[in-house]
Amino acid sequence: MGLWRPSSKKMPSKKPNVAVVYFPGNNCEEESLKAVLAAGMDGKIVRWNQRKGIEQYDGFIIPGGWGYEDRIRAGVIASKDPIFKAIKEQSENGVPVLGICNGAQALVECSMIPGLKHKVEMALAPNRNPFISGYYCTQLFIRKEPTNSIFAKSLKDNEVLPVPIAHGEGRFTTKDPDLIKKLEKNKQIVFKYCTREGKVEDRFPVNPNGAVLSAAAIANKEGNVLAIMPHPERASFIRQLQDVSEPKNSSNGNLRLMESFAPGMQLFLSMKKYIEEKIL
Amino acid sequence: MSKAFELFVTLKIPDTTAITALQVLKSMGFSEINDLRRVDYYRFLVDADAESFKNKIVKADIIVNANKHSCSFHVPGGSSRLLVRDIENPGEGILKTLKNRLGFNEIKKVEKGTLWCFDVSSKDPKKLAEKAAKELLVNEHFQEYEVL
Repeated sequence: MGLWRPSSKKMPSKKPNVAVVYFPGNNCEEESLKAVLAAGMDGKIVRWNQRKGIEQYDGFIIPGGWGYEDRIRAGVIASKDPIFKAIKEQSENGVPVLGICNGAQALVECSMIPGLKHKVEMALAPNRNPFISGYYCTQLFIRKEPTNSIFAKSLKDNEVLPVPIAHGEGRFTTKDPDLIKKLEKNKQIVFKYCTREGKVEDRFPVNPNGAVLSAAAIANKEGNVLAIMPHPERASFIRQLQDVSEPKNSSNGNLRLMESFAPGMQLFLSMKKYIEEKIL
Repeated sequence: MSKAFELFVTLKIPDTTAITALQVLKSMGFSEINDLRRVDYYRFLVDADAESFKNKIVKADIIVNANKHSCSFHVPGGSSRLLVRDIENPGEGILKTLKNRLGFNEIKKVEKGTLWCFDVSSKDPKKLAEKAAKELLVNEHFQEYEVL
């Protein structure tokens, strides 16, 4: 049982309780919740207009999809929603927030990522792809970089994860060259796009969207907020991996192995461990 | 000698993006904005006869879909206007389609953007448009804007 803190509004609980915050137009909330529950946490899909009681949750996931139809640009309308103010306040208390794809776009637009100044410092801009204009989906690989991010604690440096991407605006970019240096210095670039062997190459198709420094995921300086463009919830079980990957090949025909964890689950397991150690 | 034409394409059906933008701006405190309209903006640089090109381009469905769009070569009205463009390749994609798939070989260059037209009850409509740009309508890390 977690420690009871008299000044806390939270009731003591055995399991971390995570809110998967759903905005109209998101479509990844069920898979995100499934990953949360499989990691051993409690979870609930919380609608954007259910702000009451939001402080009861130990962590937040902002799932992928097309929140508010990407009106004006991806993630910006959700970022202005009142529930985001509440989530931001919770994150300043150390509560973990994971933004996946459209959720990542919202975190960038509300300045929680990279979170160094109280203003929007980056964009998730339209993909720069020599062959396809707009939305692009594929399976690829990302490599874990040296980082303080709580979502990568269960992973080793340079560990390679197979993950899918599915986005039209996934290119991390900024007009501030000093920011790029700060991100590297602060170890805020958590994952980079790489080859199957773990080599980072700033060229298509290894880097699918032209992101600066091949960044696939960027954290805040404190490490408790992460904006990731690939979908770890779609790479959390072996059965979800592409057929040419080794864990999938050797699991074929074995239902138990197929349902076992794939590398993407490590982000949710890391989140659980952090909440148990620091929040509860 | 190349000539430049600006084309303004507006939705005839309700523009849910403009409606949402106005609602969000109002919730952010922009009470002086009475109305907000969104127009697709194109600027063509062409080597062709003016009237001939104009008649041809408005029939290109990827630019103007007669079922839902109306269009004009005249700048729309408004207390102030905000033109937003991507910094990189604002019209390269549409240029390739127009030239390579639809045969518009006379087009030398295309610029594409979004023109937001404000109706405001403010003494300084341009300043209000710029504030709306910075707080919602533009991300300056990949977009640029001009208040007209």
